[in-house]
Amino acid sequence: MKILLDAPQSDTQSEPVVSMKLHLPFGLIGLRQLTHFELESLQDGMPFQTLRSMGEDAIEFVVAEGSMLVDSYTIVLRDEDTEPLGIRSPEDALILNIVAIHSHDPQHVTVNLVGPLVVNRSTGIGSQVIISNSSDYSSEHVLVDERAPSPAENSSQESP
Amino acid sequence: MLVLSRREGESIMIGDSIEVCITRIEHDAVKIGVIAPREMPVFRDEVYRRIRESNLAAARSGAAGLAQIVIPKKS
Repeated sequence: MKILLDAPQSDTQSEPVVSMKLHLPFGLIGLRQLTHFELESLQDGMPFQTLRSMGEDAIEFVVAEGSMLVDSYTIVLRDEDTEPLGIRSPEDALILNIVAIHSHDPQHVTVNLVGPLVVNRSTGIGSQVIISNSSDYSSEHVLVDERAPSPAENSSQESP
Repeated sequence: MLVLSRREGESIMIGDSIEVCITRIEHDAVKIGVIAPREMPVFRDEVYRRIRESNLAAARSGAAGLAQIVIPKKS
Protein backbone atom coordinates (compact mmCIF):
# COMPACT_ATOMS: atom_id res chain seq x y z
CA MET A 1 0.00 0.00 0.00
CA LYS A 2 1.25 3.41 -0.89
CA ILE A 3 0.60 6.48 1.14
CA LEU A 4 -0.61 9.60 -0.57
CA LEU A 5 0.13 12.79 1.28
CA ASP A 6 -2.23 15.15 -0.36
CA ALA A 7 -1.57 18.81 -0.44
CA PRO A 8 -4.24 20.78 1.32
CA GLN A 9 -2.77 19.80 4.63
CA SER A 10 -3.30 23.35 5.72
CA ASP A 11 -7.02 22.61 6.07
CA THR A 12 -6.75 19.42 8.05
CA GLN A 13 -3.43 20.07 9.67
CA SER A 14 -3.03 19.93 13.37
CA GLU A 15 -1.31 22.75 15.23
CA PRO A 16 1.85 23.88 13.49
CA VAL A 17 4.96 22.50 15.10
CA VAL A 18 6.56 25.13 17.31
CA SER A 19 9.57 23.24 18.54
CA MET A 20 10.38 19.59 18.21
CA LYS A 21 13.36 17.30 18.46
CA LEU A 22 13.92 15.13 15.42
CA HIS A 23 15.99 11.99 15.20
CA LEU A 24 17.04 10.82 11.75
CA PRO A 25 18.95 7.60 12.54
CA PHE A 26 20.56 7.50 9.10
CA GLY A 27 21.21 11.21 8.79
CA LEU A 28 20.74 13.26 5.67
CA ILE A 29 21.76 11.99 2.26
CA GLY A 30 25.39 13.01 1.83
CA LEU A 31 25.49 14.21 5.46
CA ARG A 32 25.05 10.96 7.33
CA GLN A 33 26.68 12.29 10.48
CA LEU A 34 23.77 14.67 11.09
CA THR A 35 21.24 12.60 12.99
CA HIS A 36 19.80 14.78 15.75
CA PHE A 37 18.00 18.01 15.05
CA GLU A 38 15.84 20.65 16.62
CA LEU A 39 12.99 21.95 14.51
CA GLU A 40 11.76 25.44 15.30
CA SER A 41 8.98 27.48 13.83
CA LEU A 42 9.52 31.13 13.08
CA GLN A 43 7.37 33.64 14.88
CA ASP A 44 6.16 35.76 12.03
CA GLY A 45 3.92 33.33 10.26
CA MET A 46 6.32 32.61 7.42
CA PRO A 47 6.05 29.12 5.97
CA PHE A 48 9.66 28.40 6.90
CA GLN A 49 11.05 26.59 9.90
CA THR A 50 14.64 26.13 10.96
CA LEU A 51 16.16 22.73 11.45
CA ARG A 52 19.34 22.89 13.50
CA SER A 53 21.63 19.93 13.84
CA MET A 54 22.73 19.26 17.39
CA GLY A 55 26.25 18.69 18.57
CA GLU A 56 29.46 20.31 17.47
CA ASP A 57 29.57 22.38 14.29
CA ALA A 58 25.81 22.78 14.24
CA ILE A 59 24.33 23.40 10.84
CA GLU A 60 21.09 25.28 10.47
CA PHE A 61 18.83 24.33 7.61
CA VAL A 62 15.73 26.07 6.39
CA VAL A 63 12.79 23.76 5.86
CA ALA A 64 9.13 24.11 5.03
CA GLU A 65 6.18 21.86 4.56
CA GLY A 66 6.08 21.52 0.80
CA SER A 67 2.33 21.81 0.66
CA MET A 68 2.65 25.33 2.11
CA LEU A 69 4.86 26.38 -0.78
CA VAL A 70 3.56 24.48 -3.78
CA ASP A 71 -0.08 23.97 -4.62
CA SER A 72 -1.23 20.36 -4.76
CA TYR A 73 2.11 18.97 -3.65
CA THR A 74 1.31 15.28 -3.54
CA ILE A 75 3.87 12.63 -2.82
CA VAL A 76 3.88 8.86 -2.93
CA LEU A 77 6.01 7.05 -0.38
CA ARG A 78 7.11 3.46 -0.43
CA ASP A 79 6.02 1.11 2.33
CA GLU A 80 9.67 0.27 2.85
CA ASP A 81 10.23 3.88 3.88
CA THR A 82 7.12 4.51 5.96
CA GLU A 83 6.66 1.23 7.81
CA PRO A 84 9.93 1.33 9.77
CA LEU A 85 8.94 4.82 10.93
CA GLY A 86 5.58 3.59 12.15
CA ILE A 87 3.73 5.81 9.69
CA ARG A 88 0.46 4.18 8.72
CA SER A 89 -1.55 7.10 7.44
CA PRO A 90 -0.77 10.53 5.99
CA GLU A 91 -1.80 12.20 9.26
CA ASP A 92 1.03 10.40 11.05
CA ALA A 93 3.64 12.04 8.86
CA LEU A 94 5.30 15.42 9.06
CA ILE A 95 6.75 16.21 5.64
CA LEU A 96 9.58 18.74 5.62
CA ASN A 97 11.28 19.96 2.47
CA ILE A 98 14.75 21.44 2.64
CA VAL A 99 15.14 24.97 1.30
CA ALA A 100 18.41 26.23 -0.19
CA ILE A 101 19.06 29.98 -0.18
CA HIS A 102 21.60 30.16 -2.98
CA SER A 103 21.82 33.95 -2.78
CA HIS A 104 19.99 36.82 -1.08
CA ASP A 105 20.64 39.59 -3.54
CA PRO A 106 19.51 38.85 -6.13
CA GLN A 107 17.30 36.32 -4.42
CA HIS A 108 17.62 32.76 -5.57
CA VAL A 109 15.85 30.23 -3.41
CA THR A 110 14.93 26.65 -4.21
CA VAL A 111 13.20 23.85 -2.35
CA ASN A 112 13.85 20.14 -2.68
CA LEU A 113 10.52 18.49 -3.45
CA VAL A 114 12.00 15.10 -4.41
CA GLY A 115 13.81 14.13 -1.21
CA PRO A 116 11.69 15.31 1.75
CA LEU A 117 12.25 14.47 5.38
CA VAL A 118 9.46 12.16 6.46
CA VAL A 119 8.97 12.25 10.22
CA ASN A 120 6.57 10.41 12.47
CA ARG A 121 4.76 13.23 14.26
CA SER A 122 4.40 11.34 17.52
CA THR A 123 7.90 9.86 17.83
CA GLY A 124 9.96 12.53 16.07
CA ILE A 125 11.84 9.80 14.24
CA GLY A 126 12.28 10.26 10.54
CA SER A 127 14.28 9.73 7.43
CA GLN A 128 15.14 11.53 4.23
CA VAL A 129 13.49 9.54 1.48
CA ILE A 130 13.16 9.79 -2.27
CA ILE A 131 9.52 9.99 -3.25
CA SER A 132 8.24 7.32 -5.62
CA ASN A 133 6.78 9.93 -7.94
CA SER A 134 10.11 11.74 -8.18
CA SER A 135 9.59 12.51 -11.87
CA ASP A 136 6.69 14.80 -10.92
CA TYR A 137 8.88 17.24 -9.00
CA SER A 138 12.28 18.90 -8.91
CA SER A 139 14.97 18.75 -6.27
CA GLU A 140 15.57 22.41 -7.10
CA HIS A 141 12.09 23.79 -7.41
CA VAL A 142 12.47 27.55 -7.74
CA LEU A 143 10.66 29.59 -5.10
CA VAL A 144 12.17 32.89 -6.18
CA ASP A 145 14.84 33.70 -8.75
CA GLU A 146 15.67 37.34 -9.35
CA ARG A 147 18.92 36.66 -11.17
CA ALA A 148 19.25 38.14 -14.64
CA PRO A 149 18.63 35.47 -17.24
CA SER A 150 21.86 34.21 -18.75
CA PRO A 151 22.65 35.17 -22.37
CA ALA A 152 22.08 31.57 -23.41
CA GLU A 153 18.55 31.64 -22.03
CA ASN A 154 17.90 34.95 -23.77
CA SER A 155 18.97 33.73 -27.14
CA SER A 156 16.97 30.54 -26.86
CA GLN A 157 13.87 32.56 -25.98
CA GLU A 158 14.38 34.93 -28.87
CA SER A 159 15.20 32.42 -31.52
CA PRO A 160 12.18 30.77 -33.16
CA MET B 1 36.36 -2.03 -10.49
CA LEU B 2 35.32 -5.64 -10.05
CA VAL B 3 33.35 -6.82 -13.08
CA LEU B 4 31.33 -10.06 -12.94
CA SER B 5 29.22 -11.78 -15.58
CA ARG B 6 25.76 -12.76 -14.42
CA ARG B 7 22.70 -14.22 -16.12
CA GLU B 8 19.09 -13.37 -15.49
CA GLY B 9 18.06 -14.58 -12.05
CA GLU B 10 21.61 -14.75 -10.74
CA SER B 11 22.88 -12.66 -7.87
CA ILE B 12 25.99 -11.34 -6.29
CA MET B 13 26.55 -10.91 -2.58
CA ILE B 14 28.29 -7.89 -1.09
CA GLY B 15 29.42 -8.90 2.36
CA ASP B 16 26.92 -10.93 4.33
CA SER B 17 23.94 -8.67 4.06
CA ILE B 18 23.65 -7.12 0.61
CA GLU B 19 22.32 -9.12 -2.32
CA VAL B 20 22.14 -7.72 -5.83
CA CYS B 21 20.04 -9.80 -8.21
CA ILE B 22 19.77 -9.44 -11.98
CA THR B 23 16.03 -9.92 -12.23
CA ARG B 24 15.53 -9.14 -15.90
CA ILE B 25 17.56 -8.22 -18.95
CA GLU B 26 15.81 -6.25 -21.65
CA HIS B 27 17.15 -4.59 -24.77
CA ASP B 28 19.09 -1.74 -23.28
CA ALA B 29 18.07 -1.96 -19.64
CA VAL B 30 18.74 -4.32 -16.80
CA LYS B 31 16.30 -4.72 -13.92
CA ILE B 32 18.20 -5.11 -10.70
CA GLY B 33 16.81 -6.19 -7.35
CA VAL B 34 18.66 -5.17 -4.23
CA ILE B 35 18.23 -6.61 -0.77
CA ALA B 36 20.06 -4.50 1.77
CA PRO B 37 19.72 -3.66 5.44
CA ARG B 38 17.76 -0.54 6.31
CA GLU B 39 20.85 1.40 7.24
CA MET B 40 22.13 0.95 3.69
CA PRO B 41 19.60 2.87 1.62
CA VAL B 42 19.67 2.19 -2.10
CA PHE B 43 19.24 4.99 -4.63
CA ARG B 44 19.63 5.49 -8.34
CA ASP B 45 23.00 7.17 -8.72
CA GLU B 46 21.75 10.32 -10.41
CA VAL B 47 19.00 10.80 -7.83
CA TYR B 48 21.41 10.26 -4.96
CA ARG B 49 23.84 12.84 -6.37
CA ARG B 50 21.11 15.39 -6.94
CA ILE B 51 19.74 15.11 -3.41
CA ARG B 52 23.21 15.14 -1.89
CA GLU B 53 24.10 18.29 -3.83
CA SER B 54 20.83 19.85 -2.78
CA ASN B 55 21.51 19.02 0.89
CA LEU B 56 25.04 20.38 0.71
CA ALA B 57 23.84 23.60 -0.93
CA ALA B 58 21.26 24.04 1.82
CA ALA B 59 23.90 23.34 4.48
CA ARG B 60 26.20 25.96 2.97
CA SER B 61 23.55 28.65 2.80
CA GLY B 62 22.15 27.90 6.23
CA ALA B 63 19.39 30.05 7.65
CA ALA B 64 21.25 33.35 7.64
CA GLY B 65 19.24 36.03 5.90
CA LEU B 66 16.11 33.96 5.97
CA ALA B 67 14.14 37.00 7.13
CA GLN B 68 14.98 38.83 3.90
CA ILE B 69 13.47 36.15 1.72
CA VAL B 70 10.24 37.14 0.10
CA ILE B 71 8.39 34.39 -1.67
CA PRO B 72 6.02 35.95 -4.22
CA LYS B 73 3.20 33.42 -3.81
CA LYS B 74 2.47 29.77 -4.24
CA SER B 75 3.59 28.52 -7.60
